[in-house]
Amino acid sequence: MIATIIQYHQLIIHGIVLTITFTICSLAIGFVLAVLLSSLRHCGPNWLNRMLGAYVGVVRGTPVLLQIFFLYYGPTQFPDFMHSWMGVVFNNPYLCLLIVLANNTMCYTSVLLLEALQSQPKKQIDVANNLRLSKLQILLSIKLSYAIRKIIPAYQNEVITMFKSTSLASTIAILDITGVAKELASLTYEMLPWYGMCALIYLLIGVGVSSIYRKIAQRIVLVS
Amino acid sequence: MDNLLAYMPQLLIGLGNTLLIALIAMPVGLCLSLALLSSSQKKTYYAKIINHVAGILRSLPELVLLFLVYFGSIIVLKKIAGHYVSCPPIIAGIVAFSLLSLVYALPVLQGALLVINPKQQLVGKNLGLSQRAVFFNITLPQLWQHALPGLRNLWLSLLKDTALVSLIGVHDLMGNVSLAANTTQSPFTFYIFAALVYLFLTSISEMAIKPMFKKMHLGKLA
Repeated sequence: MIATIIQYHQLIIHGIVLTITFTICSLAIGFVLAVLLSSLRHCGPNWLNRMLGAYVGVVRGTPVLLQIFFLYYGPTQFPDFMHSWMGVVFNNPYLCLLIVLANNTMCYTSVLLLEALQSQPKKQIDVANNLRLSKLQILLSIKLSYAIRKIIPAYQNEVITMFKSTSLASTIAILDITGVAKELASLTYEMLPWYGMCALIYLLIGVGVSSIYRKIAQRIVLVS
Repeated sequence: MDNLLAYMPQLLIGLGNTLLIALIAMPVGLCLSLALLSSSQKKTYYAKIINHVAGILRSLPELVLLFLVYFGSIIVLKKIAGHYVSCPPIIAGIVAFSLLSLVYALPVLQGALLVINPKQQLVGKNLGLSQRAVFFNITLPQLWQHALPGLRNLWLSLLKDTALVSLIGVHDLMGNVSLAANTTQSPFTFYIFAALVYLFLTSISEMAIKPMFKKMHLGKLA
């Protein structure tokens, strides 16, 4: 087994880098969109809140695997669409996975942010109103800075969950860690060692990410 | 649409399989984690082993855990029986998801246990109740009340994760939907149907659990 690891070490490293890239990109895009979404839901009209709430409910209520298959294999039912300029996105498995993961983390994080926005002490917003700040200024400087710092402990779970969700990339033939493990298992006809190695890699990276996150979070977390 | 109606019996059998896996895995995992709960709160090395193993299993992706259990079960059965024994993959799915429920329910229950006043156990002991009676009559009702939000999230997440067993060849909802989509070359229709079914399942679960929240006076957390 060690010989195979040395022979295919580039593939394994490429898989690890791909997984980490997917995690970071989808978390970054998802977080920015989540701030936007939760601000719209908090400050917008009631009908917008309910519409976006229904969308968030749909995304949170369906399995991620189903969303990936739906986005990657679904549009193939319409060949005209796939051959047009829009079909380029849905033909690319990397883009499809990125869209699904960013969408997922956007919906889960927006729920956390919305709860944090609604639970801010009214006194802080009253002070801002008395200072005659504009609504946008209040949103950005006071509400969002409170909400983002408040969800930092809960967001750690989201980071780890997103890292684990990238393993579903192997189902649409992307060579991330799980995909590489599948590939090497089918090459050597030995399943358990490769999935064990893959589990060990996820464990080590997960522990590393958790400890880094906790160190950074201790500095900026909200102490009420 | 005709394709959808033609495949409907097969899809409903798949739905039945999905519910079977989820409805067996959740109670089994929950009971096992209740059994391990009191021993995991003490300061022995046994408790440390339980907590560390649970932490390790929690940090694995569900897919990887599923594959490990499935391929591991083949190897274990081969060692026990001597020759290759074919184990139906749905059993591996049920075992993997009960393991997952056990490992995710343990911190929820541990957190709920911390809220309960430990003096109540002393009162029970002074009344002459055995350990078991104290647990079932005093601790467990309060545990259930405090752990309910976490357990509801666990159930909803389990319901959605059972879609992964389609990747090891189980004919659950997702597996049958994939088969139908590939055979009839109309994946969009079938995946929309699967999404609607999963939304229906999660809505029914939430509607069923909401009265429990009211009864336990957890109104705000619902």
